[in-house]
Amino acid sequence: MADSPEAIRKSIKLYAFIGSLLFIFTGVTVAVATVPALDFGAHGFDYVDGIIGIAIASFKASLVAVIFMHLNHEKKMIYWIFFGAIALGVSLVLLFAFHFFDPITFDGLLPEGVNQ
Amino acid sequence: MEIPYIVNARKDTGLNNSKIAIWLFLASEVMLFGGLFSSYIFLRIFADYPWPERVLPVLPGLVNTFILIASSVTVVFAWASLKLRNWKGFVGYMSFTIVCALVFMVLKGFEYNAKLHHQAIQYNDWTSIEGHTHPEEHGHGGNFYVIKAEEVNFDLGSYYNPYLDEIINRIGSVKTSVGKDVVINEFDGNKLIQNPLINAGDPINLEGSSDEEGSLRYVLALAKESYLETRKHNEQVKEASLRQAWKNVKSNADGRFNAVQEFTQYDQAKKDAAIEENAKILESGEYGTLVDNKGSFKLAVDGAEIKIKPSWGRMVGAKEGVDSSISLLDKTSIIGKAGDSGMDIDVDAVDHRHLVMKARDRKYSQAKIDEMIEDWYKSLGDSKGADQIRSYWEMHKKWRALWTEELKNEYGLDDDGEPNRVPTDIELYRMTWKNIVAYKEIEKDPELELTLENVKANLPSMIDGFLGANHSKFNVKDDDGHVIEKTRHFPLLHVARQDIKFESVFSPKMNNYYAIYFTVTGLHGLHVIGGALVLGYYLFFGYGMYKENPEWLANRVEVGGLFWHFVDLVWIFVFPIFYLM
Repeated sequence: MADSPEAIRKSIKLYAFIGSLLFIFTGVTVAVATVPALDFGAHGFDYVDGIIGIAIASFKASLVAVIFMHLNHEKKMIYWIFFGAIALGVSLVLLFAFHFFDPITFDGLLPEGVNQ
Repeated sequence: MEIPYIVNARKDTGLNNSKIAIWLFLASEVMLFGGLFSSYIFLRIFADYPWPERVLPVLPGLVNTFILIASSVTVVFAWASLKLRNWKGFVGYMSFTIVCALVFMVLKGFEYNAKLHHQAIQYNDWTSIEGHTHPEEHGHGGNFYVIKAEEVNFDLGSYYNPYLDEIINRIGSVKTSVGKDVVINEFDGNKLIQNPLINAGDPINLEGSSDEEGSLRYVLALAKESYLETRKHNEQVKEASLRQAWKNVKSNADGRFNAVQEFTQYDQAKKDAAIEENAKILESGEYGTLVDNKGSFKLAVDGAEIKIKPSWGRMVGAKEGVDSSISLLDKTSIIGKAGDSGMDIDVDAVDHRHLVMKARDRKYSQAKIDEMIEDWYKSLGDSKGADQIRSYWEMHKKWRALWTEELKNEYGLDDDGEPNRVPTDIELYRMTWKNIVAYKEIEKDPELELTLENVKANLPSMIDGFLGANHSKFNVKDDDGHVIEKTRHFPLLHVARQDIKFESVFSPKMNNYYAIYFTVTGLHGLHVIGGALVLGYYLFFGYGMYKENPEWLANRVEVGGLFWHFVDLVWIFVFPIFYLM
């Protein structure tokens, strides 16, 4: 982590840059959902728009976690704690999901009639 | 005792106490919000109703996203200022962060308020309308079960005073009398003394307090006391008798179980014997006799109109004029003829998607589905509002035909000759408030034709609909801004209670979408408040710590900032998931 005054001053510029990236990508998320020309996949909301929206949100969240929360240079123990929790959370969701659909063929993921 | 590692890191982990603590806490938060987001996913995938997709007004969510991002930047600037030993910079950035938190919560409050004052009504055929209901004024409007009461039965064990007060208030000056005799039981040991309190047919004063002799509240209070006393007496008699019965059975004094060999038979034989013995003891009156205990008080009412909030109970027989009853949660029942329990609503959206979904489940043809929708419009009757809403629907049908054609022209056909893009179900089967405004504007101007361009040009802007359907914008006002006339862009419908399958404001009761929306955003809002309190503490009370050991405060602010970034991170997912998908 930046500790010397010079390094801190330098990182302030980085924080401002990341902040503006977050603003821009928020605008992109809204544009993808509302501007007809940027409506990917079928007309209206469908899984393509869902994937794009979540991908942009994940990218923004990563910027916050990596830069603002200093995960780019954290101690090993923090990685174990934080990513361990995420891995456990994802595993529980998947376990629950696999109760409903086949993890290989994805049969049963979407009810009949849902626009895939 | 000095606590180690509050500023400096431990050598083995490289971390100080608060750093490791906040990350453990954030790990638990990941699990909490992860659980809620996964609930959202499964609720959505398996929803058996049309998911309310992109229904929230985007602008407040977008503004709040910008506010949280800005505050995330300033909180990290505040930390950097402390590292550079710039107290004034810290105060400036941290103050901005806290102002952001306040603005975020105020905006959220406006959003919630708009939802909690927006009503939806689902008809028996699954068609839904949305809009603003009218508050009760001069005896009209509001959302009530209405009954012309002939009798009200209060449950003495559970009647609830606020319900009683409301019933008395609604009866007003209508003639009332006691429906059946009330006798007060008193006990001298096991000896019963009965005193008549009031007789059937006697008039009763509704207004008086429970201290005023002859008033309804007084009679109910005494009758309740007598009821509870009698119930206690009866319980005591039953318990003593049963104890004695089991004692007799267990002693086997008459040797009646000697012949029973099988264990299971023995058990059953004992139970049977105890019941028999109990009946004998009760009959003998050895421990007192059971007293007939009436648990209700009947009030005869001469056709008073009583209005009850639907959340207070349940109505059976809602069609005006039929025999009806309302059962309240406190077990009070009101019996009489149903009044007009219909709801007045300024309709700002009509949604047939649920009807369409149900019809498709039953494999109905498109022609049949269209016919069902038309039937709903026919069923609205011949009020001015109904005519207006039918006119909007005719315009909507024209618009969707033009839109279907436009999509076909724009995006062409696939290899099978099918259009690459077709209108969504929302466009086909839901008339939103924005559609209604545009149609009204076109209808008002005889020179305007219904074309895609004209509809688009007359749609209200995002600012007009900042918090959703904006009814007040279209009222005619005088120079001082007073409303002269409520312009009926939004048709007024009177919906008969018997036509309503379900009604609710846009609260968690509405459906799973709103339940998870309020849960996640409410919990997130609590995090914003909590984070702002902690950061505010550093801002307003941190100067002493800064003077003593600035690095210590910088560490604390870093930890508070980590929490704040996490709150921002959660919102980064909340915004697209709830507002844009």
